[in-house]
Amino acid sequence: MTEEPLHTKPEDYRILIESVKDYAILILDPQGRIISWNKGAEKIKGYTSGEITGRHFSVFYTGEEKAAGVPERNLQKAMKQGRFEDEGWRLRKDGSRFWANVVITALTDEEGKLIGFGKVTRDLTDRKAAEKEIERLNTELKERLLKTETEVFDYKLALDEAAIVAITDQKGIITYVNKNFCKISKYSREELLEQDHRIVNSGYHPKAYIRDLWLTIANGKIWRGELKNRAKDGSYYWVETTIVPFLNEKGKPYQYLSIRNDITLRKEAEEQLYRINEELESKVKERTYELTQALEREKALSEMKSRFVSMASHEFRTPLSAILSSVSLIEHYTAPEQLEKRNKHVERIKSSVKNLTNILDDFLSLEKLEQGRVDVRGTEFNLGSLVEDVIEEMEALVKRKAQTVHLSFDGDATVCQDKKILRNVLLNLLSNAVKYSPEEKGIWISVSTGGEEVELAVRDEGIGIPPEAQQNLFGKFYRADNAVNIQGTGLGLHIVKRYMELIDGGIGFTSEEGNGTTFTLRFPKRLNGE
Amino acid sequence: MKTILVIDDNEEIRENTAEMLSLHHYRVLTAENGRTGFAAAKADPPDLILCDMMMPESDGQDFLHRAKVDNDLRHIPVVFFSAGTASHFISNKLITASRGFIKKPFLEQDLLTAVERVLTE
Repeated sequence: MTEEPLHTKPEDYRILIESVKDYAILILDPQGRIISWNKGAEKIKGYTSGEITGRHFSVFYTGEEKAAGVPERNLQKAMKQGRFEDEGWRLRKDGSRFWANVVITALTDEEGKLIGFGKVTRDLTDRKAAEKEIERLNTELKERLLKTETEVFDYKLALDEAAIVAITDQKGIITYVNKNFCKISKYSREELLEQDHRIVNSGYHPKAYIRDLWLTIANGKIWRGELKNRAKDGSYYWVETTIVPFLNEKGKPYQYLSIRNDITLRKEAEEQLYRINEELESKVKERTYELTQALEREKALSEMKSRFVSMASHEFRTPLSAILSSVSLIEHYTAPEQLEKRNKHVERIKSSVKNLTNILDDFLSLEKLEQGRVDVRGTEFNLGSLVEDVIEEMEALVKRKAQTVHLSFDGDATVCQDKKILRNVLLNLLSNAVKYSPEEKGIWISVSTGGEEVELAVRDEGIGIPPEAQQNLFGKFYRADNAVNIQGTGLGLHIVKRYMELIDGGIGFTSEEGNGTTFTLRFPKRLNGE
Repeated sequence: MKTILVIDDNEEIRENTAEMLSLHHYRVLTAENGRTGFAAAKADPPDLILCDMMMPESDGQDFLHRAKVDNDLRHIPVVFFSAGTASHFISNKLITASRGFIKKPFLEQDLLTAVERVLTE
């Protein structure tokens, strides 16, 4: 189809103008009276063509503008400039107002003579309303924003005041710290900004703990926990921490806000409490142990005492028994030829009495020693003779067990010492050697008196002293386990030791269970430098 | 004639007791501890055993243990001498296993009465 130029006849324009509903298109005569009206005008202004034709267009203006002569002025302007555009209020038929955009065009003929005006009016009510709404919304938005900003500011202020705050980017570089952060970490703001947050790392926490922290916040979740940090001066502080990730539109963290509270004091208190608890527990353990030990010692002592009482009872009853039976037997031997038998028993009685007396003497010696009532008196005598006397005194017992006593003496025999004490000591040691040695064994006494000191040793091949007993050997009433069935009060060695102390000497021993014992005495040749 | 074994570590008591019993027409054997006492009893089983409690090397308890497990000796009555308050040495077993206790020092009469009682049971 071939294109045909559009024929635009005046008729077409008229139809167009008449039909347009969105614009009020009027034609005014040169005085401003309405001579043409379209559908748009009817819609916008409300008048029908019949009602408005011939009327002055100032009827559309508000009272004030009409009074001010605005309509005529507008026409003038249009005439002068050929065209006049304006926005303002216009009145409808029903008196309601609407905001209009008006273009008045002066219509002239070919000679330039004014033949009238073209007026195109657009109802901008909707637009105006929209504009007003926008403005209103804008204002509202501004107000809300301001309010929110103020609130946020207040929150931020509160946070900064109340807590220790820091912000890092997603890599952990510090972008913001508040005053409190600087105060507790002892770094200045300048020293902290752009630093890696690890600047306050203390190295206290296990790697797994820190890894878990990063995993949590990198995944956009809030992490809460306690952290031990290191300040600039190397001191440590504890903080209760909440780290909040800020997420971008993709849901990935772009910064981390950490809010902390100083709990150093609490942690220190906790630690101290823990320490005190530990100390208390260990003290309790100690005390319990001490008490248990003490109790055991008590028990042991009590046992020993009752063993002693048994032993003492035995020690007394044995000689008494011998005496009583010998007396009984003497009563039988009344005939003169039984004199020998009678004498035998008389001797037996005497020796038993002596036994008893010895035991009693032991008790009394101990008592005297403990009361400090023992007189120490030095006299000059022959030590060798004393030893021989003691050996002789023990002869009967030695012979009975078929034992042999060997004596060796080296050096000067004259000493100035307490003879009584030395005699007692020697008797005890020798009697022990005999008692605790099996039959037919030997006993060696060796004396040497070189220099200022006398050394006297008594060696036996007897039952020996077990290691456990060696510690307590010189204790009061002490009997070694391997000696309980052998007659003895447990006082002998104790008394010996105390006697030795009185004469400025001492006693020691070496022994092996089953292999014999050697007791060694040491004492000054001359007592008190006499 | 009945035979009595006297076991005691103290020589005087051992000899005196033996002498006393001989005067009353008992045949007496002696020993000085549980071990030698056991050997003596095995060699020449007596009708009664008088045994001391506290003796070195092998005491009254020890002797009793040995005797009671021996076929030859289990039926021989044993009477103990006691010379201590040693109540803890005297176990129930001992009390039931022995035929009595004679407390030292004892009167001649007490000894003889006890011996006669046991021998005639």
